Amino acid sequence: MDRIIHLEQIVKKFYIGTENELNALDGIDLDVTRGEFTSIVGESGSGKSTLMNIIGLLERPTSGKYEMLGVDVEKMKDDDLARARSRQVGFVFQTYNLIPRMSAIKNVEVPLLYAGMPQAERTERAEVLLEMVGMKDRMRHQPDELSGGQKQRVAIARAMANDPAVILADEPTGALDSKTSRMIMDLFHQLHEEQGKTLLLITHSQMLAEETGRILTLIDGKIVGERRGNHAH
Amino acid sequence: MLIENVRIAFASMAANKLRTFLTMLGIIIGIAAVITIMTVGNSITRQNEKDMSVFGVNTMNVYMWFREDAQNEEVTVPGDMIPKFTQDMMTKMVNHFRDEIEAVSVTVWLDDGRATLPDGDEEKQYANVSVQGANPGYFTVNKATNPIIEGRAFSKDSLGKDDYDCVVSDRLVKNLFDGDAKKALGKKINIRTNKLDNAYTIVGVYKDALSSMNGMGDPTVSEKDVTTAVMVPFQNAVSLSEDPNASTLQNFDVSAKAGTDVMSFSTDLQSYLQSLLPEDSQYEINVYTNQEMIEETRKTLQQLTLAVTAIGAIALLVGGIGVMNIMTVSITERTREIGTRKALGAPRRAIRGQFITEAVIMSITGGLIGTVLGVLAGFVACHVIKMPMYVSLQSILVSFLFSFGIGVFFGFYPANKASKMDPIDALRYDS
Ligand SMILES: Nc1ncnc2c1ncn2[C@@H]1O[C@H](COP(=O)(O)OP(=O)(O)OP(=O)(O)O)[C@@H](O)[C@H]1O
Ligand SMILES: [Mg+2]
Repeated sequence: MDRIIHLEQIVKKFYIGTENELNALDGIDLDVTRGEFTSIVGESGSGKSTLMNIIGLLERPTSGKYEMLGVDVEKMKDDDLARARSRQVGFVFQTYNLIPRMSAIKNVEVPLLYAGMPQAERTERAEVLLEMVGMKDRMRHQPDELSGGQKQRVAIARAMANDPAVILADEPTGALDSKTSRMIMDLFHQLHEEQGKTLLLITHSQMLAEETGRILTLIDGKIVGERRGNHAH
Repeated sequence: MLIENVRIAFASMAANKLRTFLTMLGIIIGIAAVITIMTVGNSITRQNEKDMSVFGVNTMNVYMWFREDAQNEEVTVPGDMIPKFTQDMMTKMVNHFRDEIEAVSVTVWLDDGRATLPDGDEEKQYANVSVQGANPGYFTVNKATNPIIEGRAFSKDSLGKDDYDCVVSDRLVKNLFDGDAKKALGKKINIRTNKLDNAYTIVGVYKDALSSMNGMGDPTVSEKDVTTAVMVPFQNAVSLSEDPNASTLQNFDVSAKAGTDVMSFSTDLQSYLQSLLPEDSQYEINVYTNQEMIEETRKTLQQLTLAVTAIGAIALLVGGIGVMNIMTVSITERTREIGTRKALGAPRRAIRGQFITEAVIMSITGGLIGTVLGVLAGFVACHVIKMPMYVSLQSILVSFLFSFGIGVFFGFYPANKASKMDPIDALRYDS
């Protein structure tokens, strides 16, 4: 079994030491293995995004143990985290977060740039990725010239840039209509099935969650339920 | 990475054109001011150096006048009170500085007049002349400005008042002898001055370097009418002069032999001549060298440069603060971008590098615009003061480095702040 993510008693507190002290995450135990497509559901404020930010190495837990690919994250310096993010994590955000004034292809090149790939290779790789998400014909477009669904497809290409160990998608269809959502979900399935990608999807849609292999339910920073989805092998 | 950063910098500058331009204005003004003054200063210095080689570095003017502190209320000075160098003083001086003095030049001016050929048509062929009495030493002292190009100078110092020899300029030869200097030698010309006509024999032709210099001629006077000096023997001129004090010597020129330290010689000369005067003399002797004159212009120029550079520096400082301000604004506006970049794996130094690059690009763009404007302004200024322009490459290099430095210096703080942003806070930031 190929364990990518290992969380043990992860706690994340906010407003530490004040009367508003808040346990956004309250003792999370979680293992994710290679090739899994997991979804996380839960009420607003239950801690889904916080969990994803910790898994994505954007922030450190207040306590608990986190190993990514067998490496203890606590021992890593900030720039080591940045390097691990660029190579092992692909983010897909609800608000796309494409960098303005940069064409689609330049956006896809950004993680490659930070991973130190030379220009010619970057362009080549970015074109392949945009082709994969069906955006090659619009690769010279600026973000504000693209629709929401198109932006999200570019963002997915960008998340795939360095062939990361895990793709983290935080409500990727939250701002899209159902037809476009379907297209994005199909793209995730394609990545999962054809390329064996490990995916972690946060969603408010029970229907979309059912499509994945494993569904985690979060309440008040605790995983209260885990069940198999329709996609389980 | 650098290429990408430069590309992003230009894109974000292009997205906020007006704001970027206003920010660059301080730098543009600062650099333009410094480049302008340096261009003008450089041109004046070069011109001075040129003048120095034309006028000769080894000549000096010696003159005597009342001491500044002398009690002398009368406006007009009676004849016997006019300060003058006596023959005795001159002889002593020449003997004392035998090793330093190359030649002594004494001159006396007569009124302006007109030179014609004895049998010529005055309406067609003439030259406007100023008649100047000179000793042979004159031609040695002025060999740089008025070199003899044909014939000879006056033969000896003792040329008396009845010697009607003259040395004319190439300009006069052009007017009266179709420019043929050889043909002019030995010819007689009529010179009318003080309502007197006198016939002179041409013994030499000198080159009038000054009147051929650009910008010296009055454009309203036609080329043919430009006044040119005719040199006649000193004693002859004195005898023709209406001024009873024509022969008194208030000033004269000296040229130093090659290898003499002109500056220290001029001080020695001054103190020696002063020592020949009685101690309580109300006269004062001054020795003025070309070097001194050039030195003075250089000093004035230096002060001016300093003042303008100070203004430029203030403008640059203000400009730098402007860059810092706009970078802070830009970084706040682009918080989400910074968060995204961090999520995509940007290390701190990449973020810092990106925004420093942006600040540097902004300030060197301002610097380049300022340089162009400065060179243009320098060109206009040089045109106004009628001087050939020499662009100071050094100043361009310096201002480039300066604007680069401003970008780095004032860009560092905001860029560093951006690099230290927490990725989560940055991603959650609502713009
Ligand atoms: N940076 C932060 N500073 C302070 N409190 C935070 C921060 N991030 C999250 N929280 C708090 O932690 C709790 C969990 O937030 P989180 O964003 O993880 O919820 P979520 O499950 O993603 O909600 P949603 O479905 O609305 O996105 C919330 O109460 C939130 O207010
Ligand atoms: Mg959330």
